[in-house]
Amino acid sequence: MSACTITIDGKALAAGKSETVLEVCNRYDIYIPSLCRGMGDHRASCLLCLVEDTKSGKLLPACETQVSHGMSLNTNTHAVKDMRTQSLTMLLAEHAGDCTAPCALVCPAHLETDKMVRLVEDQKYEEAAQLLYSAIPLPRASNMFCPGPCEKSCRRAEEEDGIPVSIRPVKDFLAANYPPVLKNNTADNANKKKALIIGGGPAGIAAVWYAACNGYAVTLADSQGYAGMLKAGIDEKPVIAAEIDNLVKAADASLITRDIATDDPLTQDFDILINTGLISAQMAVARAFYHGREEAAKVIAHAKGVTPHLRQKSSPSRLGKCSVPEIETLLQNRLKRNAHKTESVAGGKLCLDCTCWKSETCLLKKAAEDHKIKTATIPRLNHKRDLELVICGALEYEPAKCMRCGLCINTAQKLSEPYPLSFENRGIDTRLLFDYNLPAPVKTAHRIAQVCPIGALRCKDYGEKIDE
Amino acid sequence: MRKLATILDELIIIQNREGWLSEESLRSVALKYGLSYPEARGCATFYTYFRFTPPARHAIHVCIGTACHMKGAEKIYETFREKLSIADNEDIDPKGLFSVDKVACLGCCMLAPAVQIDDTIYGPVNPEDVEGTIKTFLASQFKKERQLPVLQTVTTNNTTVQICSCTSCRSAGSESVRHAVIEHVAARKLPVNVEQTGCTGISHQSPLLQISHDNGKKALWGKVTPRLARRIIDEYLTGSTGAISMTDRLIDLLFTGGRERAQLNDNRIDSEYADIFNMQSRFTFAGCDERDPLSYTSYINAGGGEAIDRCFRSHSREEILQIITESGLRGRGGGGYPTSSKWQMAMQSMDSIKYVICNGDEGDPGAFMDRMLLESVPFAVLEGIAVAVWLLHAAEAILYIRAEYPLAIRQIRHAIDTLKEKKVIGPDAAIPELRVPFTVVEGAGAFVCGEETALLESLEGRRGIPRPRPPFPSESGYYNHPTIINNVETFASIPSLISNTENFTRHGKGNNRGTKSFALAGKINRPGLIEVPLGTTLRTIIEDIGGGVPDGSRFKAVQIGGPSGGCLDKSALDVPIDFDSLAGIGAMMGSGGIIVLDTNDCMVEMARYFTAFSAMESCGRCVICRTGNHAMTDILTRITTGSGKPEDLDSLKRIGNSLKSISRCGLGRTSANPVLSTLTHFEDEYLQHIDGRCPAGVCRELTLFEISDDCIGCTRCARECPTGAIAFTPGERHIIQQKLCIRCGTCRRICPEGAVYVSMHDND
Repeated sequence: MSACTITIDGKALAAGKSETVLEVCNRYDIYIPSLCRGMGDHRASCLLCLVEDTKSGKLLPACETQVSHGMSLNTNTHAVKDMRTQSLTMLLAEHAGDCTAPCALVCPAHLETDKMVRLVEDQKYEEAAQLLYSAIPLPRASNMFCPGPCEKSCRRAEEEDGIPVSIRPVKDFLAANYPPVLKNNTADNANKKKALIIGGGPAGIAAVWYAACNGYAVTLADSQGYAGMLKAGIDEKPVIAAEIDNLVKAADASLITRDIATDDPLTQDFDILINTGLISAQMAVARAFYHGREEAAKVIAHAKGVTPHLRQKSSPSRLGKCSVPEIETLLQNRLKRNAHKTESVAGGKLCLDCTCWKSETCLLKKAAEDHKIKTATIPRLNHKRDLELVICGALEYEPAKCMRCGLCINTAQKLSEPYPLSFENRGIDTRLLFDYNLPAPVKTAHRIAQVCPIGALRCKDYGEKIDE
Repeated sequence: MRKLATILDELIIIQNREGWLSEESLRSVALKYGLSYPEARGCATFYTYFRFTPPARHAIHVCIGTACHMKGAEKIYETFREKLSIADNEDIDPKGLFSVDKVACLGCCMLAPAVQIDDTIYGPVNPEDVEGTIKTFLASQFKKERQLPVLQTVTTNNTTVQICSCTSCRSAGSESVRHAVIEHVAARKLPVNVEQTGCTGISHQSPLLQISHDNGKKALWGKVTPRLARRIIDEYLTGSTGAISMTDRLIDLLFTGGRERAQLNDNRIDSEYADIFNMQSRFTFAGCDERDPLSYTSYINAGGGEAIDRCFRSHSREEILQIITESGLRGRGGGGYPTSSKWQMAMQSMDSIKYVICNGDEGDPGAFMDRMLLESVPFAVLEGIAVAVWLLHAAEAILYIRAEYPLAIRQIRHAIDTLKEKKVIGPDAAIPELRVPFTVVEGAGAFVCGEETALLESLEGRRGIPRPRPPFPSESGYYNHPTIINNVETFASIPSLISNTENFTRHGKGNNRGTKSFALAGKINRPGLIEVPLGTTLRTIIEDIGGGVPDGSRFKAVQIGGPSGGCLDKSALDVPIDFDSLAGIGAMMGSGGIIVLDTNDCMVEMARYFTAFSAMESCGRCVICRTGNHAMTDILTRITTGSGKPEDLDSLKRIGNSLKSISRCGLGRTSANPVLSTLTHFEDEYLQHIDGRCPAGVCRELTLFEISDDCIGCTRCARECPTGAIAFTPGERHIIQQKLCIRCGTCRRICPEGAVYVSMHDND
């Protein structure tokens, strides 16, 4: 391999003759966003890894461009960023699918509604209940105030009968039957680090539960006790009181019934101080829960010296409004995936499972977040969306999500036992074509699905474990 | 068949034989070529030539090329579906007799709107002619082929009746004229020859008939019917009316008021067209209207074959390349890349196997010069290719021609056979280097295959997705061997260029030498095919050669280069047209279609049409082209239907500029030109649309038709209105019921008094 020298962002780098620009950049840790990761001898398709040739000013895809001696490139000029954004916008425009289900996206308490409903469907009630408490520590109380944006945004509510998946009844069911439990609560309170939470409103209670879950011995300070204001507005005080009691007991929290200022000498006795007193009392309960949790997370992360990790809700790609036949297709897709699940636990409709299965690891989603693409700037194409799920053996394919990079086809060809796969049609109608007479063996299917940078392909038997 | 025949070749044969590709046949073909079923089907679905559902007995293809689109092709398509009562999600009528589909361009722009039923082309077909066309076609199915008498060839003091045989003349009925002439000449026992000729370019006068004498005297008639042809022969050749039967004369006098007699003079057009020919410089087309395109003897007599002779006898390879380099010939396919550089690069390669490919995949809607060259001067094209084969020691020459050009394919195959017989090429060729196969490959209908690397993919039997460049085809092309790919017109100019360099270089200047042919269409008096020196101004082309825009409308813009080109306004009329000047003003030579637009044409609609075309033809590889063109089409559709917003123009510019800078192939890079150039020159018109008005009265949602007081109550509009929006009120002023009106414009077109006018929508 005869070497040559190329210049990237003003730095001279040694490169092999047959390398691509992307390979060189990866080797030197120069960040270039790329969906295909330069795998295979494919042809540039997503145009995300653009770099600028300083001599001609031309923009070249790094994954396809071979290095040549004396090449000089820039990876982060204005033009490069601009065009990368443009490519991403176009990729998202044709990408019909939700990153996060609308129900989870709209929840002001940031409850992972979609996950909860799925756990309930799988009859993992205990797990579902704990997920619920982590975001909404007082579910029955909050249900009394909650206008149910999750149910309003539910896709199944777009059907003719207008009835959504019954999410609030599910919450009630869980709260009534499965009390909050602290996981791994083995250590004695005396050995635990101590946390003082100021403010006993919903935010304070969320902070109590969060801190307790993170292994702190919790003390709450408020002159009105737990959830004073919350109780004031509700007729069914006994229900709330019982719910609060359950939570406090589970968290093993103690109470100081007076208001404490942040500079009070008493605070010296505690390892951390979480002040929720500044969170507005005017805030809706669910939002207050979230802010309390966020505040607690920040303080605890700071104490541990890590960056706080709270699930950020984002969905750069959205399906938008669906027509009735489209919802029907989505329902059929859901039934194709799990034919045995025909109804939800609370006797309501079956959840469509809108959240993309690859939502956590999707490279397109990550790139869109990195480039701060606003959903509003993505044009909605006036083109029939191919929402139907294609199943061939263990492979599941969603044409509407496919970005037509061809990585799966290349990978399938290079396997020790090549699997035939090809694109059909052209332009925006391009989609994968399977031979239904020849379904892929599970191992092959797994390998093919693994290379998909987004959630268009998945392997049935491996499900979510696929990227581990 | 090519040495390395591919699955595509076989699929075309099956499609032609069975009318569709069943899963069964796809599977068996795939097996034969060692491919999987997805690969075979994936490859076939890339091309629009193939059907995947059982066909009807006859196929109707409605051309939606630029010229046809402007004259309402969309409406014709809908009318066909309506008249054949085809259901919404079907393409075949309930009886299974006809299928209707759209085709990118039939290359019959002067017949617009054109329709092809099986192998016959009809035009112009307006909505009111649809039923008649179907009937005519069905009637023609029952006609028996008549045995034509064989004429004795006259050698001395001869007179020749020449009938143009190009596709446009044929679709205008030149074959029946030719048959009538042959029968008539045989019946009268006249000492004349009857032969076919190549294209004259004045296609709007088709079919043409020319009588030429040995002494150089000539006479030319246009719009000839079989009756008129018989009359011309009688009166002109025998010099008296005596030969015409009494009955014929009586029929003419009684039933046509002597029109036929008048036509004899009126349709004679040689003096008028002598001027037009003088304004042009026919170089590649030189003399093709004088001789039978398939006669090798007359090609040689006209000075053909000399280039090959020189190659063989007097010149070395370096000398020939030197001639081409010095002539400054640039590729005529659109990009304008210097031909000699390509050739030199391929010649220098050490690879022992090299190929020559002629790109005849003329997909630009509105361009048909390649087809005309293949039909009219097949020997010149082949000689040009032969020179390249000789220069390169090529292993094979391949001509890739659209399957939509059946006549061109037939002519060129015939010409290849003739050359093999004459031992010019083929296994017995006199020149050893030319003992290689010359193969014709049919392109199965994908605009992107005009891009040379996509063409290579297609030739190798795959989906036509452009390859990354470099390496260029001259270094690594067909099956990774060095390959020369040039356009038909480029090859056609090689022979005359070598034998008469001076004749080529005296045209044009600087980097832009020689002549270029253009397909002239749209709102112009004399549409057709012209050839002019590079550097001719648009004004000369449009006003002098094309005869200007028809009376009653004003010139507004000119569209050059089809979906890759741009719209230019009248400020560009005096720019000399060549590769560099066009690129400088945001247009492109493309393969050379010129469409003239007048005040009745809507620029936004024009841009929408081309962008939709590019979206449909995008191969689907780069996201910006695949989705960007769709997004632009959506925005433009919004604007033309009255729901555009001012910020849409910014979106258009943004997407257009990204297409230009990051697309990976020529199709994508240039696909924004129609939008960007109209935004530059006609931004007003966009803004007017956003305000809810279409000044040209084209966009249906922004237009209302009304009938003025000039109406004489003739009821023609009431009878022709497809939706019955005009009440049948003889003698009274007709009124259009706006609720029923679909704005098809039929009434406006047929009103004898011009009483139908476009009124603007009120915004409230």
